[in-house]
Amino acid sequence: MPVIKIDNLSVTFGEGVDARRAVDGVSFSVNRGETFGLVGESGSGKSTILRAITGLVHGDADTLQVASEDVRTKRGREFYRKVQMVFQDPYEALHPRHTVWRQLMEPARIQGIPSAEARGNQALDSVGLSRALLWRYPHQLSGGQRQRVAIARALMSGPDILLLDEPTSALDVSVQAEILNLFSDLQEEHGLTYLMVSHDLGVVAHMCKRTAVMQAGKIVETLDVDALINGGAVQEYTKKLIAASEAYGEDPAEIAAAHR
Amino acid sequence: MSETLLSVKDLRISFNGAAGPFDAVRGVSFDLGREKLGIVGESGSGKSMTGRAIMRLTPPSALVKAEHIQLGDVDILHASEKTMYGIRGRRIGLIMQDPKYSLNPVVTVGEQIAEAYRIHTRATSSQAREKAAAMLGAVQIRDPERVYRMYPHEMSGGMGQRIMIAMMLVSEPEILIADEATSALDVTVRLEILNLLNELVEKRGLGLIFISHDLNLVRRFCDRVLIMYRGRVVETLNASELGQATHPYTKGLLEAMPRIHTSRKRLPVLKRDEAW
Repeated sequence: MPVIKIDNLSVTFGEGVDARRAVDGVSFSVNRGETFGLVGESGSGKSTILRAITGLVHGDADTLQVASEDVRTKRGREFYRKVQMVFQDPYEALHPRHTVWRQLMEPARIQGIPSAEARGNQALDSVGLSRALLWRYPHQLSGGQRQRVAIARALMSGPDILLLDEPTSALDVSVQAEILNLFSDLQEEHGLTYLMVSHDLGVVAHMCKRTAVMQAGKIVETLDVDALINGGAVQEYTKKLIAASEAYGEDPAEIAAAHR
Repeated sequence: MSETLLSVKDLRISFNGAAGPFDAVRGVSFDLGREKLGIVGESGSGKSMTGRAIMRLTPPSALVKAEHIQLGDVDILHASEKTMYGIRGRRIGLIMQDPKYSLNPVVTVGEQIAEAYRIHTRATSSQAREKAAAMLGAVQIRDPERVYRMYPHEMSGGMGQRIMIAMMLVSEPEILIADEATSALDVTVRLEILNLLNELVEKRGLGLIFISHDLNLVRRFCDRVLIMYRGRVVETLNASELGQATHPYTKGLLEAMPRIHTSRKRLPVLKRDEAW
């Protein structure tokens, strides 16, 4: 059952001659409990889709449904409880002068979440953050710890859907592995649905079942990740993207073995 | 390996922090020839600081010690500031991650390249102009005349990085240090920039120090790789032999990377050893 349903979504920036379609007639749907990927190069409009879903930018669509609710114009309080976002750079996403604890308590207060303290502790446990870090500021944390704080904050409202905007591309590979594992664990634990934007085909191949490939605001094709990596891509652009990722990506021997 | 362009022996960099001295680099040694040498490590491994020390651009609070840092006939450790002016940008070029922060936002890119050329040579402004336009062509920018008049904010990331490369190469340096120079670029653009760097290194016989966090990329692109962890080189390998790495840190890093063609339920997480 689709929990996110988007039909013919467009986002335009600027007016008149300067008007630029960042997202141009995009349609896809995401099923409950799945991880759906949006892959593409910078400027292809993948992050703008996430922003249009949350209402951070205005989008026009025939259908924009989240959990069977029409969110084209108005989003209720319930929407913001259900849908949370995790950004690329946790350092910019966190308040520089708030402690870890306050980062978690502030949204809880705004959204009127009951028993916030108990939830805060729960969220910290879920992301594997030690209580010793509660009173630290973002600059006193490592990159991975910061992203864990941002994820804990997203979990405070008990969301069903997480919109992940390049959540590990600012992290070291060893830390990326930890955070990606954390996302897998949280999905299993809370039955979360992920819509994940990434430019890294390796990450998408690891995390997602299905993915849409974007170029210049349009979805070039939507396909199963299995098909994507086993040469099932139909469109030229998708093939080019895979070739580029492989060319300076993995061990040639591994690729040869996989294609055999 | 061909002749040695640069030799670094037992480089140590430390900072006096509030919590006592901190060693950012703990005894790094390597020789650079006319080759592509990769320095790989995660954040805080000291790879960028090593690059900075070669140009003597470490922050004032850093304490730099070494047996030697030798660039041809110049002893970088003890050279005068005046000598260093003749080296930075002239004999050693540096390209950083984000061209947006490296370029002057209020000067056209063509003028910036021309300015770099005039600083290092006694060229007239019309010579510099010509040279800058030619350099834009050399880094495969279409329509160099038009791009010459553009400002940094009008460029894409890939184009900005080409401008940086053009600016660094205009003085014909012996060594180029690329510090995460392609990390902010899209895969297809990255490929173009790497091909360009590769061609320039081969054509001009440069020594390239390619600093990156991306092991896979370095494995494909470089000739030799130093793997750094917490200020030390834990392993030096020919790039083609990275698959036979023996150090647990290198192996752990390779394992932790998501792969397109191998599906795994969980990614192996690196276990760090205090002794590394």
